Amino acid sequence: MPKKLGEILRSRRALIVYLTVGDPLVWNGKIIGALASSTDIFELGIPTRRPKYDGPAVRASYKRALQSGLDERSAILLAGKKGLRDSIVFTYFDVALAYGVEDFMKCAADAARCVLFPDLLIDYPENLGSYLKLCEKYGLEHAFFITSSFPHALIVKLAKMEPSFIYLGLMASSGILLPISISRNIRIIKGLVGDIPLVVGFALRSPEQVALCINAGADGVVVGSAILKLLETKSDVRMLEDFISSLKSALGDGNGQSAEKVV
Amino acid sequence: MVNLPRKWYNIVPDLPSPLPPPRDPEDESFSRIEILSKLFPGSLIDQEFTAERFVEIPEEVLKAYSKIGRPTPLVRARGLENYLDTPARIYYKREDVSPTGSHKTNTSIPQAYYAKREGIKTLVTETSAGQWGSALALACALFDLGCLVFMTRSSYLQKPYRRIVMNLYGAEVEISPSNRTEVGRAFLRENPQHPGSLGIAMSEAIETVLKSSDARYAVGSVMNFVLMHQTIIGMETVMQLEELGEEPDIVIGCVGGGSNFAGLSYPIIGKKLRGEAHEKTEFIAVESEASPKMVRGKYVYEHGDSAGYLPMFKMYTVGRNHVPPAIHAAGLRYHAAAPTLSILIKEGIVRPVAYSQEDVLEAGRIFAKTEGIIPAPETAHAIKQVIEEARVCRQKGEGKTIVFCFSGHGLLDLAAYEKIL
Repeated sequence: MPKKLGEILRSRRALIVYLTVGDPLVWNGKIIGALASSTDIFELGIPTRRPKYDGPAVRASYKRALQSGLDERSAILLAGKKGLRDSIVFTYFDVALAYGVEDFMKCAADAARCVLFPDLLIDYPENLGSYLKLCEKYGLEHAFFITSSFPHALIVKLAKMEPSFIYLGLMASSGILLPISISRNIRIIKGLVGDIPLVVGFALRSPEQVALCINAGADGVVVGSAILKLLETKSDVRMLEDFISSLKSALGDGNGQSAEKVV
Repeated sequence: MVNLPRKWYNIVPDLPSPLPPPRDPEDESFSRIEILSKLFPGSLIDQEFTAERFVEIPEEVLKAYSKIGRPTPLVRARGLENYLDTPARIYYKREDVSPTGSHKTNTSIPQAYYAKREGIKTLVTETSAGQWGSALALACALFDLGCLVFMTRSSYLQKPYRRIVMNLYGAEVEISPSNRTEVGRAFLRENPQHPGSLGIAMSEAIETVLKSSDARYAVGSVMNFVLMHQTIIGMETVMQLEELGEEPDIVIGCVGGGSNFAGLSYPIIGKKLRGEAHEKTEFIAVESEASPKMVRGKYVYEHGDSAGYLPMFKMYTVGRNHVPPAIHAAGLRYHAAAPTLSILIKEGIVRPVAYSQEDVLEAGRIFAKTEGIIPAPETAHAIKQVIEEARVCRQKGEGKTIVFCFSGHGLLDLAAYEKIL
């Protein structure tokens, strides 16, 4: 099975942009168009009324999506409508359970290349086996979400399952910046995942942070809440383009090297 | 004789399953995770979420640890063994030798150090037994910081000498619930003689900090960084046991939030979890029936404090608004077991046991007579279990090695023992 996302992450340092499906602030042609040229992979969040690990920006985004008439159960059906094929569906396993896990994965496979459940290994570890089986059945790439509080032995075990990537949540909640040494944590985790691409996210909002992440060993960075906050203040496409460009440039390291990886 | 360990041990990377992250409540209110930065010095938040297995102890903290008497002795309880006529070999780690009489200084000192380094002027906290408040007051005196302590009413009245200790160290002590905060005033309206609880006092301390710009909150248990600081106990004990040629068969400690139990046991549990050693070692955590979170609580997400200023952590809890009966072992009244301890209990690595205070005072008296040190009523809970295990060893003719944390002395808690004399 071709692993497109895995290939992207192994060929260059990637910028991954998070959007909430159905949030009118971001889920529109204008914004997606402004982001498309700089974005390597899109992360499509499915709105829910139970945003366990999300900070205020994403919670507000879910609320806007649900208030715009989007049904929580059918949000997944909207995910494929913008043609963002090189994407990850990112949502809580709770949401898939409410839909019916197998049906959910099947729908997600029409929209994206990968489904990532941040709560799978924390709240539903007994479902790991069926997640992998369903990924295989529906041609989805498998990937795992971890935090800096994960057991190291488990991280090593996950890497051995050869996921397309491992996603490290850098903070306790999305969008909330805490004074945690992200470069130290990334370095430690990178040491455990070996050559599996490491994607990092949560509260990333500046080129300086992106450079820190890359220098510490990250292969891809995710930005989500920062975009939502920028657009909440002012829906300025130009500002958004400039912001995303600045993050993209920071993916090449400070010595002016391009983001393309030397193989 | 062992040297001071130079690193603390963080059990999080060695846990049998992922530690559930803290959460914000699902309502519309402010983010508790966001305000962590207003509550704690940055270095402590960093330690809370570090992926490191071992964390370097700063030189100034090592100096302070040394000043107050670390490394502490690991003592063979021959008097107790002879009295019980048991083949078991019993060792206790003397955390009572700290100037304030308990293990709490192991974390109050680093918390004060990091606060001072970050330019913070005052640390604010709550205390029930007075042990945590005294330990913080001492640490603030050592690092030249202001200190404000909210003390639960029942303890303030039962333990006047604790208040004097804190005042002598330069701290200000306020009765909780107090008129000083909104949360305090609300509880006082309900009941002007409210005995107070650790949860309410915590909320008062936190509210005070949130309204200030140069004060931060200091916490006595539950948080990962606190339990990590306490592992100085176990890191020393591991070296001391090695020097003695002893392998621990049973490790015991009392549990309020879990800090002294974790302090002693985590470095040993860590080796077991990594498959390096101690495959057959048992770990027993002893709580009070007055707050039976480990044996009868639910493993759910709950706020650390009553008013809900702190994030929700997944813990064995009897509910944050549980008000336990006023018992002398006030240090065991907290409603929950620390998240890392809770996961170890859930996974069957640690076995919990609960006793009522009446059961344990006699154990405390036996220890005083046979070993010469009067235990704090909290510590007597651990001693009760030690005696039970030693008796089983006698019945079975097994010479097991039992190690427990002598978390504190009872010299400022003598009223508790009066009733059994």
